[in-house]
Formats: sequence, structure tokens, C-alpha cells
Amino acid sequence: MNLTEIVQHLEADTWLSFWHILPEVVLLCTILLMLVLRVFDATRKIDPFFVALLGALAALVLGAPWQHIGDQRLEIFTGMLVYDGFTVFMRAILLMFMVLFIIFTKLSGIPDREDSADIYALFLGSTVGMCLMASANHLLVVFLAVEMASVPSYALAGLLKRRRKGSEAALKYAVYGAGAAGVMLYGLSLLAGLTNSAHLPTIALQLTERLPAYGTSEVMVLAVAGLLIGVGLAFKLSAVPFHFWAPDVFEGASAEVGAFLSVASKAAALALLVRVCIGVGFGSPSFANAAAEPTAAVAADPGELLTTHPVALVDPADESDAAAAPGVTASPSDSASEQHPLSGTRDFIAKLVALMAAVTCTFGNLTAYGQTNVKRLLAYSTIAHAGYMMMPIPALMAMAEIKPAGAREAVAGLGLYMAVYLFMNLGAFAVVAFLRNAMRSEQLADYAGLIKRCPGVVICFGIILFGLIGLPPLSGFIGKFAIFASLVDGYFATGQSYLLVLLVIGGLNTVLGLFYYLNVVKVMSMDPEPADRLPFAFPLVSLPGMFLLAITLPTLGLMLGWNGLNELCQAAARYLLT
Amino acid sequence: MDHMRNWLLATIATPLIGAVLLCALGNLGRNVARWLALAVTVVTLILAGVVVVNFPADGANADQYAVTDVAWLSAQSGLDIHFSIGLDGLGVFLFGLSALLMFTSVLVSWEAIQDRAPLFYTMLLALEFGCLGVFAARDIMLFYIFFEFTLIPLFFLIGIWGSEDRRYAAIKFFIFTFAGSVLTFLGLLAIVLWHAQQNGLNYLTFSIPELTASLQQAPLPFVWQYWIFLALFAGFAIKVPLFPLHTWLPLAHTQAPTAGSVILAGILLKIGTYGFARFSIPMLPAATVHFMPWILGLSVAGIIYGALVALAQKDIKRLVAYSSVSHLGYSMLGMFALNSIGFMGGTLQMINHGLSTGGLFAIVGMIYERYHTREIASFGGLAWRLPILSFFMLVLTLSSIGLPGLNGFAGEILVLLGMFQRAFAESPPQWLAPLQVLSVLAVSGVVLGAWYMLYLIQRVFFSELREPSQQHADHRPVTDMNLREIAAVLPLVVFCVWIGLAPDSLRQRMEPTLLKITAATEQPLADRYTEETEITASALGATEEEKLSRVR
Repeated sequence: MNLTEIVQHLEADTWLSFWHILPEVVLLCTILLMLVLRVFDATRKIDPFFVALLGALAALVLGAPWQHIGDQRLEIFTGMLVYDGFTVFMRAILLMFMVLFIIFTKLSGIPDREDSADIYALFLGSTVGMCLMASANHLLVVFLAVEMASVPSYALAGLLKRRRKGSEAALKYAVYGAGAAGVMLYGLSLLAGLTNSAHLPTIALQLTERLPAYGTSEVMVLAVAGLLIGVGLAFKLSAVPFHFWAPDVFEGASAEVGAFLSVASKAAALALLVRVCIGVGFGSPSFANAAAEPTAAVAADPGELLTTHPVALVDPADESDAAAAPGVTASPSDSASEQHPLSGTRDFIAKLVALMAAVTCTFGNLTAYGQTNVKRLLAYSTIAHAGYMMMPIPALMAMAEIKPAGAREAVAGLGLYMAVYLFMNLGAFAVVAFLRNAMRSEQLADYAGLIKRCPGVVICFGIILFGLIGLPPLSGFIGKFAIFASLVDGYFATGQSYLLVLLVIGGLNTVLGLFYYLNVVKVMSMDPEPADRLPFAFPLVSLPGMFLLAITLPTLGLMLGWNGLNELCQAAARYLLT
Repeated sequence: MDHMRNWLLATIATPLIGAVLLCALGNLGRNVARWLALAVTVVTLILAGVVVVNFPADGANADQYAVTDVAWLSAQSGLDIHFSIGLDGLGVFLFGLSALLMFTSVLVSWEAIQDRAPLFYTMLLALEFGCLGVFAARDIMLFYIFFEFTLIPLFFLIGIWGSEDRRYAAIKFFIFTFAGSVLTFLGLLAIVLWHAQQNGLNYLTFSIPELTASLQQAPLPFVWQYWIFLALFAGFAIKVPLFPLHTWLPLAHTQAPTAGSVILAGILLKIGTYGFARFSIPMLPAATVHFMPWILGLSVAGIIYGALVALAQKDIKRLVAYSSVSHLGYSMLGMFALNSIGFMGGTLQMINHGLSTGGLFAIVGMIYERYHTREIASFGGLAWRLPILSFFMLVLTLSSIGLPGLNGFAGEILVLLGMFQRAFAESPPQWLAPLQVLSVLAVSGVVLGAWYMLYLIQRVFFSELREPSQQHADHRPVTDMNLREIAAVLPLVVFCVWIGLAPDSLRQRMEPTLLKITAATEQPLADRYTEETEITASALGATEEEKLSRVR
């Protein structure tokens, strides 16, 4: 193939690919437009809010999720990105969130006239990164997308000028983020070096071929690479033990930024986790047949590391040990001779994620109870929900080969959870932001007896909190149900007892979560009003009030549209594995 | 009979519409709110009455009665969830009872609720919606949704309109019930998934009749039954509440407003026993048989413990609350005797307890409204002052302690008959002694029940007239029951007498359904019986041989 052919081929590929990333392109154009508009006197008066809103809406419409949700898998940009139903679904979630979020920021008045162009540029820029995270198919894109999503967030955390806590939060976030990114990059380079490729399906193929021949040291390096990449992802997910930034950042930054980080950032991180897990654990369909030769030494895989310590699944303290001691690998197993060469890798990923999910969820719920600041409480609640949302991934990995339909269900369950979680958490942060504007406080104690002052808001917040608990008939239940069902399904299909343990931990956590969510409801509706509260008014018949109603409605009513939502999510997951 | 489904749908929908309407008209004040709430509950009661009266008198084809079945999630998506409601012999009277007690609840709250009345009645109607739904649901998912839905309104009813300790009581109530119900849900989920896996379905079916039938054809393996039974037990036993999981109940009862207590005792506790009868016993028969002696033991412990603690109470409402623990023990005892007589008695006892204890709570609330105290020691001879109220109190008390001719007798005698039959005629030799001891102990509960209730009556209503000093600011001259209060309690008394005199009218309607449920446990019982007998026989044989050898 000569140069001309390559160039021609590339040109065709790029042109074709371009149509599949239109939403991202539109977002980028919007950012540029907002910055350019400020230069000219004539256009300076245009409120960047409208530009951002239109941009996000246009991106959402151009992505046309209603049309493309069931699209076949397609690798674009020479395999750097992947375009399938899941990409479309995640992009739709992120952009829908963006549209609601931009309206919300306008109503809560956080971006003032002067810097709103910057702020919206940062939000939109971060969103582009998140969309790329959801469609990453190459280690380079994985890293670039994570950074593209993170760097604007660092600046956003320090959005409130002249506030020490905000600056502290931004600095903490940036330093911690940089550290995590460095560690992750190291892991990515180890993986790429070991497999001679950075293209995820190729990595899977290479692993399939080479894993049987790997000795202990290579397997160890592989395990280390997996753990290091895990660090980077766990940071984005705010999974324990890489969650320390979350409460500080959420408390220091404004509630708006909190909403952005807790919904969009989490959704993107989970999408990326799914991509990486599937990418490394399955390979793409074209490679699937090539990898069928039975091999013997599969069991010499880091997956064994965790099977030999089943206790680690339930004991939070063991997490660091397990992560720090990958050397205890390579216990040869005899029954593994007929397994798929990658099953060891899958097992490793499944157990690692299961462990992290269990610890994250429990830790978040336990710590949230003692919080006095509502934003901090929501931060821990976010951590706990990240834990729930990681739970279907072990089920996905475990069922991959045995029951592909069940594996798809698991991803669909995750999508469902994200969809309902979007409304609940955005709603919760919106309440906090509007109440902050109305009464200048974010302390839980100041929420006491709010039902007398603004019953409508309390009812909305109550519905959202009950939704976050997962109480039927509110929509949070659908998500929890989907996740628990996939775990039970996984257990019955594979007999892996860690899925059962994870299920029980998830169930117990639902109860743990009850304590603090219910406490907030109790404080708002039953406790007496503090005597020193200044009178304030926050009627529901106002723009913020209407927004609140609109954002609560899905939590209340999505149960009725369960079927449609379920089908949507299943369409999104249809071509993920085949 | 086909048109009955519309009546049933209308019955369930009416309170929901009422709640939404009340919420929307929230600013119109207390008067509008309570009249609207009354109108809604009366309409619901009439509709429910029509549905219950039209139930086939011989109970035949009960599981086809008033069935509405609409697919909610399609089977293609992997979840075959239906919006499926209908009534069978087990649920039909509890359904009617719910509608009746709601009417009582609205009337007893008429004057008592001054603060934020529209919100109060909204919650009450939402609760009614949940209760009616629970007993009509024919789909596990729907059942669970209604089941959990009842928690939220009651949480607020207790937490906002309760007495001093209301916040703690509300939280404790919510956490206890929810914690149990999460485990219950996981257990039900396991049943559903196992069923799908076993039958090679590529979708999950949640239909209760279908699952029950299929699990009786091909039961779960015993290990699974064992664990799932425990999971279900967690939720239902807390709800009942079975000793020693009852600690939330007296607190919730004492702190709740009168309407909350009436509904809690009358309806919500029944969801626990109903759950056992609907899920645990027919779906997990082998585990039921395995756990039967233990649950019988716990029931008897609850009967005696509740009665003894009730005897020592200083607060009228607490006394009635502990009597609930004791009475629900009877219900459980009857159901878990696992024979048709006992099961019938247990089910009847659910309805009886709802009528009499619901009524008792209503009357205690009326006393509290008059004197602003519930302390037994500060009352005496109220019959002189409040003859009508005392009359109703006495009738309900007699019904509660099981005077022949009133409803309590019909239930208790069946429960005890069932238990004695299990203990003396149908039990394997190894269980013989413990079960016989239990059955005799259970009888002592009848005596204790009469003791604490009549002792209460004697202290509060008879002897010399003694009234609490009225230092309360807005005290009005104490008057006897007015028409509204009579209207609240009279229907309950009428039904108490009716069930007492003609229990057969209920029995005929319930029997076919109940027989089906107990039939599920027959085979496991027989297996267990032969197994135990063989063990005993072989043990006996061995000792005989030993003796022989020793003789040699």
C-alpha cells in the first residue's frame, strides 16, 4: 500500500467517522463561538447561556439517540473510537444532563455576566471529554478523554472566587487528579508495552494468544498494569480508597459543580469502565473466533489472587492489601484447561471491581450518616451510588461467556440506573443550590422545619431522597432492581459466590443508606424550626420552583415508563458484546 | 362477574385520586380537607363493599375473581411484569377491612388533627391506596411496590402528627420495616429467578398464581427454600410483629396519632401475616414444615409475653399495643399449625384483630381527646360519665378476649383446635411433647388476655368516678360520644357481632383458597412425618437391641 492509498483511505475513514461524532463537533464549535462572541462589541451582549443551551440542544438532536440507539458496532477514526448503541446512549445521557444542567445554572445564578462564557466553555469542554470516554477504544483515547474531562473540572471546583474552601478544593482535586492520571498512564504504558498494542480489541486478541505462554513475571506485570489503570478509573469514579477528593471538592465547590461531578462525571467514568472491561476482557467480534484454542496455563493469572482471599470481598481493610500484594499469584489450577484464555483476565477484573464496589458502597453509606453539611452528605451519597453502579460489572464479566444475554442485561441495568440517577441527583443538588440562594446556608441543621417555610420544596426533596433510597414506586427502585436482578442472575448462571456476597452487601447498603436519607427528611419535615432563621421565601411558583418540579417529576413517574426505558437500555447494550 | 374488575379498579384508584385532589386543593383549609377525605373514604367503602359482597359465596374459582391483568413490562425485554390485581379468598376480607378502617380513621381524626390537616388527609388516603393495593396485587413486583408504598405515608403520619417521641418512633418504625423488607425482596427475587432458570424461560415472570402453581409442581431444593424462607421471614415477621422482633410496635403505636394506630394495628400488621400465607407457606412448603415448630414456639412466646407485658402497662394505648403482639401470635399460631382448621382460624383472627383492636385504638383516641392523658391510674368509673363510650369499649373488649357470640371466639377456637390437632393427632413422635406443651401454653393466653383487658375495664370504666384534673388550656366540658364518633365505631361493632354469629359466611368464601394453600404443605409434612418416625423407630430399635444384648 503506497502513501497515496493510505492517505485516501484515511480521508475516507475520517469523513465517515466525522458524521458519527457530530455532537462532539457541535460542542466544540459552541465553545469556540462563545469565546469569539466576546471579542466583538456587537456580539458581547449576547448571553452565553443561550449559546451554550442551543449548542447542547443541537448536539443532543444531532446525536439522534431515538434513531441510532440500536446501531451496530462500528470502529471509527481507524479504531481510536467505537460507535455503537452504548455510545449513543451514554452521549444522550450526558447531553440531556447538560441541557438540564445549563438551565439549572442559569436559574441558580452561579455564572455571572462576566465569566459565564468561561464557565460554560469549561462545562462543555469537560462534556466533550466525557463523550469521548464513553466511546474510547484505544488506550490513548482513554487517557486523553479522562484528562479532557478532568482538567476543566479542576478549574470549575475553584469557581467561586475569593473563597478559601473553593480554592483548597480545586487544588486538592488537581493534585490528586494529576497523581491518579500519572499512575494510570503508567499502567496504560505497561499494558501497551506488554501486548504491543494500544487498541483495546487488539490487546484482547494479543492476550488471548500470549497469555498461555506468559510466565509469572509477565502475569505479574499485567496484574500491576490492571491495578494501576484501576487507580485512574477509581479516581474518576471516586471509588474507595481513591475517594478522598470527593467530599472536600463537593463541599468546597458550589452545588452546581457538585451536580456536574456527581452525575456527568460518574456516568462517563462508568461508561469508560465498561469500555475498558469489555475491551480487555472480550475483544471485538471479529476477533472472537480466533481465540478458541484450548490452553492449559490460563490459571496462572492474577485472577487467582483474589480467589485465594475470598474474605477480601467483605472486608474493607483488605482492599489495600490485595492491591499492594499482587505477587501472591500463580497458584496453578487444574480445572481451568478448557476455559477461554481470557477468562482469567475477566475473573480478575470482575473480582477487583466487585471488591471495590462493595467497599465503596459500604464506606459511602456509613460515612454519610455523620455529615452535617448537606453537600458533603450528598458527596458520600454519590460515592455510595458509584458503588451500586459498579455492581453490575462483575456480573457482566462473570456471565460474559456463559450467558451473554445476562451480560447484556447487566449493562442495560447499569444504563437504567444512570438514567434514573441523573434526575435524582441533579434534583438533589438543585434543591441545595436554590436553598443556598434563598437562605444562605448549606448546613443540615438549617434545614430544620423547612416544611413550614416552603412545603413544595420539601416535598420535592423528600421524593428525591426516597428515590435515592430506592423505595418503590419511585424511579430509584427501577435502577436498584435492575442491578440486583443482574447479580442474582449472574449467581444462578455462574455459581460464583462473590456475586451473592455482593448482592447481600448491596441489600444491606440499601438499609444503611436509609439512615441518612431518612434523617434529612426527618429534619426537614419534623424537627422544629431554628429560632434564629431569617425569614425567607421560596415559592414553588417561580422559575427555580418550576425547574424543581420538572426535575422531580421523572423520579415520581419514570416507573410508569419502565418498559420503554428498559427497552431503550437493552437496545443500547445489544451490540456491546457480539 | 366480569364487570367486577372495573369495580375493583375503581376502589383502588379512588383514594389515589382523592389524595392527589387533596394535595392540589391543599390551601382550602381543614374543613374542606376533612369533608373531602370523608367523601373519598365513603365512596371507597361503598365500592369495596360491592366488590366484597359479590365475591362468590362458595369461594369457587376465587383466583379468577375481578382480575385485571395488563402487561407492564413486556416479556421481550426480559422482565414479564404485569399490572395484575384481583381478589381471592385470602385477600378479599382484608381488602374490605382496609376500606372500613379508613372510614373510621377519617372520623376519629376529625377534631384531633388541627395542624396541617390537608397534608394529613392526603397521607391517609395515600396509605389507603397502598393498603388496598397490597391485598389485591397478583404480581410480586406490584405487591412489593404497594408494600413499600405504605411505609412513606405512615412515616409522616407518625413523625408529624404523633406525640412527644414521634420522630424517634417514626424512624425506628421505618428502618425496622424497610430493613426486613429489603431481605424479603431479595428472597422473592431469588424465587423469581430460580423459576425462570428452571423452566428455561428467557424472561422473568412475577405472577404470583403462576409461581405458586409452578413451585408446587417442582419445588425449590431444600437448601434454597431454607434460605429464602429466612429472607422472607425477616420482612414479614418484623411486620407481624413476631416476638422478639416486636420492639418497634409499642413505640410506634403509642406515638402515632389515633388514625395511625388504627391503621397500623388494623391493616398494616396484617400485611405480615398475609405475606406468610401468600408467599412463605405455599411457595416454600418444605422450609415451612422445617421451621414450623420454631415459629409455633415464637408465636406462643409472643402470646404470653405480650399478655404479661400488657398486664403491667400504665398507659391504655400501650396496653392495647401489647395486646396486639399477643393477638397476632394467635394468628401466626393458627396459620403455622398447617392444617385447614388452624389456617382458617389464623386468617379469621387477622380480620377479627383488625376489627376489635382497630376499634379499641379508636376509643382510646377518643378518651385521649377528652382528657389529654392515657394514664390508667388517673381514670376511674368513666362509665358514669361516658356510658355510650363505655358500652362500645366493653363490646370491643369482649370481642377481643373471645367471648362466645362475638368474632374473637370464632377465630380463637379455630386456632386452638388447629393447634391441638397438630400437637395431639398429627405430629410425629419426636415433636409430640414440645408441641403439646406449646398448645397448652397457648390456651393460657386466653386467660391472660381476659385478665389484662377486664382488669383495664374494671380500673378505667367501673369503680368510683375519677377524672384527671383538667389543667389543659382549651378544655371543654367532657361529653359522651357524639354521632360522628358513634359512626366511626358502630360499623366495627356490627361486624364483630356478625362474624361472631355467622362466621360461616366468611368461612365459605375463604375456604377453597385456604385449602389450596394448606394443601401445598401436605406432602412435605407427610415426608417429614415418615422421616421422623423412621428415625425414632430406628432409635427405638437400637435401644431395644442394646437392652437385649445387655440382658444376654
